[in-house]
Amino acid sequence: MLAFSAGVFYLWFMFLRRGGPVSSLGLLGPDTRETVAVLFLGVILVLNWALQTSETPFPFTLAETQFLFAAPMTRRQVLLFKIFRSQMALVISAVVTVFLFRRGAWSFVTLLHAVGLWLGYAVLNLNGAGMGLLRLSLAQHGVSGVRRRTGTLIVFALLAGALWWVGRQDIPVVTGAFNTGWRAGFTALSQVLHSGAGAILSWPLRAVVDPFLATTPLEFLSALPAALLVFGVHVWWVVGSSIAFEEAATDHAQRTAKRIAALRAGRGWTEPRSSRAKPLTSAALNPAGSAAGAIAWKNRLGIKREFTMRSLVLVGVATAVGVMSLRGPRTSSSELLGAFLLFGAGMVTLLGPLALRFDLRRDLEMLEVLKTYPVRGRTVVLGEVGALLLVLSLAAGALTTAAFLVTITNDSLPALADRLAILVSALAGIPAVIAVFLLVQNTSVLLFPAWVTVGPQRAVGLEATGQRLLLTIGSLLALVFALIPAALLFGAVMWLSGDVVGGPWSVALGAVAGAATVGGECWVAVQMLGGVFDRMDPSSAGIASS
Amino acid sequence: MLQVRGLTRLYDQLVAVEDLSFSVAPGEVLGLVGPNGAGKTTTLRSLCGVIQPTRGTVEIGGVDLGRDPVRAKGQIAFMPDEPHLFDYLTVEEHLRFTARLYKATGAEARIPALLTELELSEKASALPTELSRGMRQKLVIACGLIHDPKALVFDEPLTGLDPAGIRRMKQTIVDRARQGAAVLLSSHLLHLVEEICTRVLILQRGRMVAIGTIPEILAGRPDLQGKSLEDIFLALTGSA
Repeated sequence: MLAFSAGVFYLWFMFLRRGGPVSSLGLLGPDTRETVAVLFLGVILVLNWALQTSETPFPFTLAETQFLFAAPMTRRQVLLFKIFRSQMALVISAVVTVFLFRRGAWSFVTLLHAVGLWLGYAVLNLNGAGMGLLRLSLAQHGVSGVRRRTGTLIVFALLAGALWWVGRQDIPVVTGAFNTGWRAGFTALSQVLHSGAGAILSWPLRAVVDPFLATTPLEFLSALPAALLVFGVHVWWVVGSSIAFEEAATDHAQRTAKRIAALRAGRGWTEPRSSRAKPLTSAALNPAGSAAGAIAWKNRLGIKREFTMRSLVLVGVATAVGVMSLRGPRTSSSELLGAFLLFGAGMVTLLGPLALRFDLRRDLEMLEVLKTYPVRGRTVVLGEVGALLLVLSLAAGALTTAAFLVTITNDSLPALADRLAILVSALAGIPAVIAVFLLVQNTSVLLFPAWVTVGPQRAVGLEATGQRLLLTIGSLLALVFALIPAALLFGAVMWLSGDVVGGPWSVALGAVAGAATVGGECWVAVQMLGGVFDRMDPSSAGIASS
Repeated sequence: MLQVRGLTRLYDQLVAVEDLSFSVAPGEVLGLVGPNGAGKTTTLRSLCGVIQPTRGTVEIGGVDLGRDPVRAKGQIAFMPDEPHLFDYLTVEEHLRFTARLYKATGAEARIPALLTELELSEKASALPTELSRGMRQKLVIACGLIHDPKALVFDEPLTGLDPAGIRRMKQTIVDRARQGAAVLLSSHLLHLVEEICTRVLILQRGRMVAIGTIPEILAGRPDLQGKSLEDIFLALTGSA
């Protein structure tokens, strides 16, 4: 109930509150709103094309695959049925979204917005289905698949070429305008989208977003035909494909059914791999060695096999956006690259322990198995936390070192010796911060297993959002408390060594001392959590299988 | 080898197992039978250290499970009815991982032999999601056998196996007992229990209602002479 209340509060704060983050979008002018919407839709489409891996055009249920695929229906009829059926969910999504954005205030125009948004959702949905069929065709037929899809591929090649040409011409102008202010930037961007080749390229996107952005019924009606045309072209593209998608759809349906069965059996939301996917090979585990090392090896393999290129691209894009928004007008390329690497190191350090869950957050669903092993609880905890600590520390450390190396000849930055001292400080501090974050997360799952989603996937919904909110606040408080002794020692060592080794190196010495203190705290925490694990009873933890 | 004294397990006010005492000697196969909810799985989980008994002690190879769980667990293997496996480890990696945790000596040589014995050689590099239910069950059993345990605990070991697999599994269990392991086998398949178990323990509502060889049990119930284990079970548990 507490978590649900927190979730409701979060929903109100973000969406329904006057002056909240979402409601402030309404302050934008009509041209800027259209530009933002077109960019948003374009980014979603590009991300769908680049990162979507599903080969099935629509997610069929197991029952649908068993009845529809065996029924005397053509492939085209099955697709039309699925397109028709999926519209109901899209309409509900559109209505709910508009309700949230309008803070529950309804009018005739609001209803038209819901229709406009449904058209947008439907086009996105059909575009994803069309791309799924294209991928499937290429995967099924190889080179001949390329020949079969020549028309579609030519359209995409032309689009890419036109985008490159427009970008080459206009990006410097738009970037220059943004440097003078965001209003000027959006005005320049709007001009690009409404003139020359940019207007032709952006027309389908504008056609889709315009009904949603219409402020009067007349505007809506005048924008509707173009949106319906884009929708119709997508339906024709998807339904006109004669690709055998049944096997891929059945495979997808079976995996989904397994996930649901696992969830109902209390084993969390497992993510079974496609039966066609082959595991990446890895160095074999030596049968002799420590148990903690074996558990860490197991988790490291899991990270390696389930960390997808999509995750890497998303981290890269987020990092690039962050760096570009912070850069100054005279930033050199080496400084930009260094900032990119440092930003990445920061994201790995601060977000990595929350995003990657290959520790007890994942393995507690196997508690019954873990409890049978002849291993003490503290060894289990050490191994579970160790793998992520090692992987994240190495990644963040490597990025930080790379940032140091790419700016090593840059004279405009502080002296090289000082930067070296800062690097040493960072390399000492990174594992300490990651360790505290990981232990806080693992403490949460051991002490409140019913409050943390156990298994590979995060839970969704208001209650889960509230739980995460409360746990994040708790984690930050724990982090502050854990860092107090380290901060005290850091300050003492820095003060004492300040006269001997000088400013930056005294910071480095302080950082090493602080990191050692955190290390000691973590060792104590591992012993204590090991005791909790030893006493943990799968029957009463709320995560036991039947 | 396996000694249980006064084992009691409560779930709040519910008595799952009450004052259960028995032992399994090396080379013996003890069949644990009982109707649904009799406390069989709770007993097995208590023996393997998954849950802690409310009262009573469990000794494995003379080592008290409560006092020295690491050494005691190192001598036992638990094969549950539902095969829980790590989705991201292949068949061979499961065996290597388990071997390391149990400090199994000679694991490098034992892994190919076990894979052959349980017909998993062709699936050595497959992930659990690529295996059938029966193969997953075999992998769990292979993991249980990798450290050559002195005591083996099976919970419905034949679930999901094909006829050939069932025959081989029964042979594997009998072979391990002949090699000196103490085997505790829980199953609803009474013909299996009758075929391979040397003694039978019948549980009813958490309490032991009978233990011994079938002739020993019949000695206490002359009215059941000449009946099958199924008839004896139904009569003793009042399920008839």
